[in-house]
Amino acid sequence: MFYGGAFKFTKATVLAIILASSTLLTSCQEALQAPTSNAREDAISGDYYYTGNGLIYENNPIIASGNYNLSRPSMSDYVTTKHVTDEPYLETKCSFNGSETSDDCFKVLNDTTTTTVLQANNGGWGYGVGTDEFYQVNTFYHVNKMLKRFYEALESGNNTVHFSGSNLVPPSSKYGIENTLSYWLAKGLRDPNDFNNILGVENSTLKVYSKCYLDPFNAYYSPSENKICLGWNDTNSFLYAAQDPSVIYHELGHVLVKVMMNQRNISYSMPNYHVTPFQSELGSLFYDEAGAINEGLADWFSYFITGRTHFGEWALGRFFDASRPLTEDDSIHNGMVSKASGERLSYPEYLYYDPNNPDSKVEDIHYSGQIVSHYLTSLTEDLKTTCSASHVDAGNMVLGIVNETLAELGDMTGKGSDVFDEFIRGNDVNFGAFFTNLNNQESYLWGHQVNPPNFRKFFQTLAKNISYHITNKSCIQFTKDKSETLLDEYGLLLFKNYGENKKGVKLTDLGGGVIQKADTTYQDAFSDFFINCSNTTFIYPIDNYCPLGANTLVNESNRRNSVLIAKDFLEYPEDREGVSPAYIIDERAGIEQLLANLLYEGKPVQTSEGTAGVEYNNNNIKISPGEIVGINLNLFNNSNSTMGGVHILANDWDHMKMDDFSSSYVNRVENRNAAKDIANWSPCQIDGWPGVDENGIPSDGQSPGNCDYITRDNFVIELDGTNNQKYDLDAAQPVCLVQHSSDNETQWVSQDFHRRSELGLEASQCLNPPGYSGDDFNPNECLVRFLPGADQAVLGKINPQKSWAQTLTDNSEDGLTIQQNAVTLLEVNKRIRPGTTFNCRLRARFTNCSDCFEDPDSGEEYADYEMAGAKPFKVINFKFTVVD
Amino acid sequence: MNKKSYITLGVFFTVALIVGWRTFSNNQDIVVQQTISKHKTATLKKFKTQTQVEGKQARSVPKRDVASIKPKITPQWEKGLNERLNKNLAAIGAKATISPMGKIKLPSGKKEKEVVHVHVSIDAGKGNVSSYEAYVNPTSGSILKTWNQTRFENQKPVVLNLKPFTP
Repeated sequence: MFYGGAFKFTKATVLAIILASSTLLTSCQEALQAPTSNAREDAISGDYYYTGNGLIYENNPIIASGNYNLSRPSMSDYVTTKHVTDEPYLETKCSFNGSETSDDCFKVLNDTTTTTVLQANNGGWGYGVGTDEFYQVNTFYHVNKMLKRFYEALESGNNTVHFSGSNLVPPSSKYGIENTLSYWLAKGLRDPNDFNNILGVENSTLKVYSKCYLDPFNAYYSPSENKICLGWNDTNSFLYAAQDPSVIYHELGHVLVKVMMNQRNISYSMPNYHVTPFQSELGSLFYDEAGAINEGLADWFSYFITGRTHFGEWALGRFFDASRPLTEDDSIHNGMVSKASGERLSYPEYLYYDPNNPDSKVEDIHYSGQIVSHYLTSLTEDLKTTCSASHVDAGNMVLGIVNETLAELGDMTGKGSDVFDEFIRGNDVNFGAFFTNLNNQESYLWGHQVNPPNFRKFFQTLAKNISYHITNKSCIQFTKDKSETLLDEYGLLLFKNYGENKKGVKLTDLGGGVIQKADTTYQDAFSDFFINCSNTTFIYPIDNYCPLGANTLVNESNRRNSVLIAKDFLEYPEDREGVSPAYIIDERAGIEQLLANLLYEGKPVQTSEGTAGVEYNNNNIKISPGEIVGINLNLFNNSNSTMGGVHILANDWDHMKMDDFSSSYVNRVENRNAAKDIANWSPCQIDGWPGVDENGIPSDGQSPGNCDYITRDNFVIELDGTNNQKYDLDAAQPVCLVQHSSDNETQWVSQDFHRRSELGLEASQCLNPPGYSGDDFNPNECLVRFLPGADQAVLGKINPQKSWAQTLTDNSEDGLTIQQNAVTLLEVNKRIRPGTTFNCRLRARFTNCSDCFEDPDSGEEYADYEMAGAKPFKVINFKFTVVD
Repeated sequence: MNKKSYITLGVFFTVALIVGWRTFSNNQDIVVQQTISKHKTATLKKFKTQTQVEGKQARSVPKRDVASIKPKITPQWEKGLNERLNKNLAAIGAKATISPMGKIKLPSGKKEKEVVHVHVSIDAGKGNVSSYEAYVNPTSGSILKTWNQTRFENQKPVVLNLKPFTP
């Protein structure tokens, strides 16, 4: 207060300063750290000093109290004292088989603004219940507990695969996983001056945040930042995801899936490392079966640790109706589900089943994943009974085969096993030989879009590993028939053979970086493994057994619930009364939201600005020049059984033929100026379309370049010695053809032919012009194209004699609420003349298909390269005319 | 309590305020240092002692002389990528941050193709942050491939206004 210009301290002034100082300090602190939700209930107790012990929740409050109606409990009633760690901070290394991670394997932090790791208080962790410190300690305890159990099981599983008895199949898990550190999140240490030069390998540290502000309430795993966020927000400020250990196990389960999927993607041969340029993941769309498998595995991890057959009882179950059972005996199920034969949670019937709301029909990977978690829990329980195994031993067996399965599915090297890796084996016998995910260049595309893990691929591989590593090694009482019967109870006997003997391709090095493609499938390495017993070059000491080189067949008498359907029963219902063949979104705001969501979810699409864009969208429910439209094909199931996992592909594939093999250059200015011979492509006849009189090329025999011959490598455009762009002879081509009229003839031609002969467009006026696409510019997508990133769709299931929309909406086809996985995005060049007609050849197949994954004539599995052709798919002719 | 005591107490809290303010200001500097680029983090991690020091306690970091900081020249690909990402994200009120990680040559058929490796982080508010890695065209900034996307547990379906289409 001022008195006559002089400043005097009074009690009030000093109190005001103190108050202001305190407020400022508090607000500074809050800016860096989220507020503590509850006042500290217990002071840090001296009882914990130098013990490494602390207070934690061993179980969530629902389980700890036995009260399923618990609403606002006194959380301190449910804590117990446990040994947390003797480390001085909440961070630790992990060890596997005597090897230790190069860095801390994980650390626990409070929230995403925190960089300081909690330090032990005089060697103890006795923090007051409800404090931020308490939740960090609790999170650390459970992450550490699960990782220790995981490594115990992984060591047991790896011993079984690599050192127990004879190896009858090439192992996919790494033999020397300690050398690559890929038993944990591992990466290549790159030379900052030459990113391609790998100096070594190192582990990443997983950061687990126990109090992440997330509104709405949520949890997530971010592999690009190696972090787990366990949510909390101020709507229900007493509620933390970290209060439920099963949620911690589930999230960490996703991390372990990531680890197992990528263990093969670092290779070591003293003194060098190979690291794949990208990593694998299980699930890449809003809804797909790979994602459902990932969720099912993560739920099973909760059971693996707790032995309890329910996940997420506390926050998810009590407040969001989103907990999930892991067994048919759970009371949450409707009355239709039981462990009786024929009443299990089976595929594909229960793909849309939310036990919390049984009348709803949703495509959600968490609920579809229940089929996986129920099967794995039953398998574990069966192993306990059949093999007289403890929960730990049965868990070890299941984890071992899951690890073996994920190692194969996630392989981005294209090899599938170290046995075939010339880099690791130090010889060139298998140079360029690939047996999984096509090859080392296309493996990401194959493993995540063209031929991703679905329920068939996952359970076929798992069944193979059960047969070779449990039935033949750990527990002979769990017979092949028992295994097949259990799979069938869940509708998962979706294959006719075990697929051990893979057909691959071999690319031959001609020197100077030139690769020559072999023109036949390649099986020599597998034959070598299976038949050439005296071969001493194998790196495994026990690979001396000589099994037959044929695939093991499923005993068909075990198939009672798993129904396989021929692909021809999947229809594009263009002539079916009362069924819309397709749905469209061409409203600007809707497309803007779709594009933004795709970007947010990490599936960004690149539109051709200036040539097409949302500004042209006119909401006339037609396809108009310049628009970007969402297309949903409402496919129809004309069979009497349910179809699951319908997958529609709109990416490039091998369906056209180069007119003249000596004219192979891409039609662009640089090539024309250099007087290169420009290629023209014509459509191959598929299912008799287009006719010969419409420019269709009929069957022409198995020679490279021909329609009947499918590309072995999926290479598209390459540079010649003068850096001019030329097509590969069997280049995959964009899906859309255009109708072209001349001399009283109507023909189906390539977009490049139409744009130059009819429209006179330059490359820069095309979609995805050279300014964006560089050397990859392909004028065969000049006029319309499905946007990469949104060029595939998944329809969860289709009921018998119903369309997909009818399945979701109980026949009405109105009021569809769907996720983006069902929609592809089509981009239309603004320079197209209205009235121009296109036919886009999309390919579709489904998981329980009898002839989409194996040749119905020979019974052999299709090789990976055949997924670039028509045979494994139902080809759908999506025909439309562009109108103004 | 006499007047002198009040003055002493007031001075003490004022000093505490200044010290506290400076301390927290320094902490924020550290955060900036750590997020320069993934590339640098990878290099640092090779030297364990530095990495450990990073996380455990707040410490002073030598201040850079402002005059020594070179203005960052944003390459064309980064400008293009930034503009396109943020233009499209406006529909959901989100904002993207791009962190270059390095250039890498990828095998492409019989040749190699140089791409830029970036980390993309998208903040949609209320703690909802999505991130992934991507390869982008070093000239145009077009995204060629993405992986390591964030996996959210609770994903609400988008309500899409689908209309029957008769081609």
